Amino acid sequence: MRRLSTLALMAALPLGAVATPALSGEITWWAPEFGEERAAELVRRFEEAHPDIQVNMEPVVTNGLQNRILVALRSGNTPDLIDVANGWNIPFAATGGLLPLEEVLAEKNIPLDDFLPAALETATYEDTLYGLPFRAEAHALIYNKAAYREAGLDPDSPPETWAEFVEASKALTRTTESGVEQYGFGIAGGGEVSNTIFRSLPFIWMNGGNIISTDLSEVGLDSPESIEAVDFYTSMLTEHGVAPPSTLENDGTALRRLFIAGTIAQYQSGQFDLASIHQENPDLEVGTALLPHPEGKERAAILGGWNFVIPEAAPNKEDAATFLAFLAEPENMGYYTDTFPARESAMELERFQDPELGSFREMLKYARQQPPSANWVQITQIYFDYVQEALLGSMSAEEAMTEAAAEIEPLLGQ
Amino acid sequence: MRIPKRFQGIMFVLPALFVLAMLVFYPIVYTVVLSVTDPAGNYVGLENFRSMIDARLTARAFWNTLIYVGFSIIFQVLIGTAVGILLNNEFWGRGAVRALIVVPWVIPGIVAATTWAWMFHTEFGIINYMAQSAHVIDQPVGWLTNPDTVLPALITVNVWKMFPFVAIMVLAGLQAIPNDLYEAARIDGARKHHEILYVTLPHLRPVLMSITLLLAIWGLNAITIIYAMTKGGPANRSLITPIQIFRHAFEFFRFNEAAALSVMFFGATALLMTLYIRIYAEKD
Repeated sequence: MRRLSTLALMAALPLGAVATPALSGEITWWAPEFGEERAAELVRRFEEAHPDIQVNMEPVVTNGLQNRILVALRSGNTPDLIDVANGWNIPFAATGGLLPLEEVLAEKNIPLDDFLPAALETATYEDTLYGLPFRAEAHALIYNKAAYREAGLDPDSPPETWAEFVEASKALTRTTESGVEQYGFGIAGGGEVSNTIFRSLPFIWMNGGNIISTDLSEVGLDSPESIEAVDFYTSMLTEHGVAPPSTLENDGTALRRLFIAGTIAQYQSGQFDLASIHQENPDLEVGTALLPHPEGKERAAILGGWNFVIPEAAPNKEDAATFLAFLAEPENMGYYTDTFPARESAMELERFQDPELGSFREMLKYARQQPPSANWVQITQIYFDYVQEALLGSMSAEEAMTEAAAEIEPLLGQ
Repeated sequence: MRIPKRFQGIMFVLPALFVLAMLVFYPIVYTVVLSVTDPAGNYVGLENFRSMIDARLTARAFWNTLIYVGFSIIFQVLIGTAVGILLNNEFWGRGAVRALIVVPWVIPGIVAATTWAWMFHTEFGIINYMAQSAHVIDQPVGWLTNPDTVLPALITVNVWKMFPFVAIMVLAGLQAIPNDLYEAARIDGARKHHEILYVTLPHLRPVLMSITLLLAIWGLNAITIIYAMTKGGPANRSLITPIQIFRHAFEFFRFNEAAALSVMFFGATALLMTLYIRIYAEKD
């Protein structure tokens, strides 16, 4: 019998180990692994200044991260501070698992008026702030200057309007002197759904349309403006043939590779692509420009970025707030971000003055958040399926978007 | 304490049964419970089932699953058996070939699928590059983006991945066939193809039957290859039911609908397997 109880004890041991409560003076931080080195450096600096607080930084992979955080928030077994993509912030807040931050931030003297308003909106749910943005970015147009010259275009004045852009893309679609089949404009039509959303939804917005309205009450995908914009996007492949035949399997990474290989002359992406383009093809003359807009209308972009959140169930909220205040200091935020910081004062740092970044910085002014619908993933999946139908040529943009709208409609009321 | 003899056996297996019940029955029961409730846990009857049956993609996904698994099994068994029989012969370097042949099976599915996705890529893919260099095709083919080629391409990868398993099992089965049967056949004047047809294959039948069953079960539940290569695209032309379940559960967080679809899929799979075993058992 004694042996049995020992056995039972041993079996229960791992459970006990998992449930150990965090000691005060210790916090756990989930940070995406792509920023691991900088995160570790920040932790080092913080611990130097606050010897009584120990930060356990756990690098997490972004694949499946949203789900992992959601499970953590629902189970109540959470770290003290988490980096979340800004599109997840409101859905997480809606579960009731996040700590409201306004009071915390006021106590730490963090001026919210220094933050990009659109970035703060991604963290605001029912008029309460549930996250602190630290990274913000928007897509711009990346183009090959040499290809522009060879096609008889001026590399210093990239196209402004949609009509000019289509003409330029047609001119860029040609067999080059070195025998490469070059395509004018690479669009995304495959991979993760978000790749296509980030590259096509801005065109819909510019034209005055939407997938669903900002107040989440209406589907706008079957409006003439939305249909026209989707047609503008998909016709790059179906009508003009300026997008490569591989469009339906291309995501952001594939587009970057095609650009580096010289197969496509223009594509949309964030500034994070620039480093690997320069590294893998140093001879490529990269130009960046604002996204083209419809004649007489404003440009638009999706605001991408990341926010810090503190879970309601965090074992050590007090020290987490201290660490959050440290990370929110302009120089730390400017050091940590992969793209731009979400604070205006951090924008002044040397690192963000590179002229090549100018277009991306300018596009931030036009950036809006994606509709904070709880069903957004499902809605965008439906939209994406029908964009693919249009790209396949099995439906016109109008037919595809009309059907997509009908399918999205029942998801609104939920 | 003395335990009556007839209970002793049960006492011994009880811990194992308990673990089994927790690991197997609990998830099944929980899935069924999820399938008839809403996210708040209220009983909703067959509502989730109805909404999944009405969903535009359910029928297409199920049909794709049948095609994908059916053709995969046919070619896995055909090629696997042929390779198994070949490898049973004596030839120089047989050990090396036997070792090499299992490579596809041993490579993690996600690695293999990602590599194949790049090989099939319209622009960078080595397959198009070789076919164009050899003038088999003059325009690059969108293997994974053309609705007509996407399923065959995925089936090819699936066959490549699993045929070594069939070959190994067949090889093991072949070693169990007594040599005197072949000798007897040869004395009766049988040629090589007669031997295969009348001695080898009949003796392999039990092995092949279990293999087919395993392949069917694994194939119906596998999502790695398709999820990594096309995610069910283009426009759901390669969507299979397991991926649809995955999407509903872990991308849309609609666990109840996903559970309803799982239950239906489980029913359909169970029915297919039962039929298969019945038909086979009757023949024997």
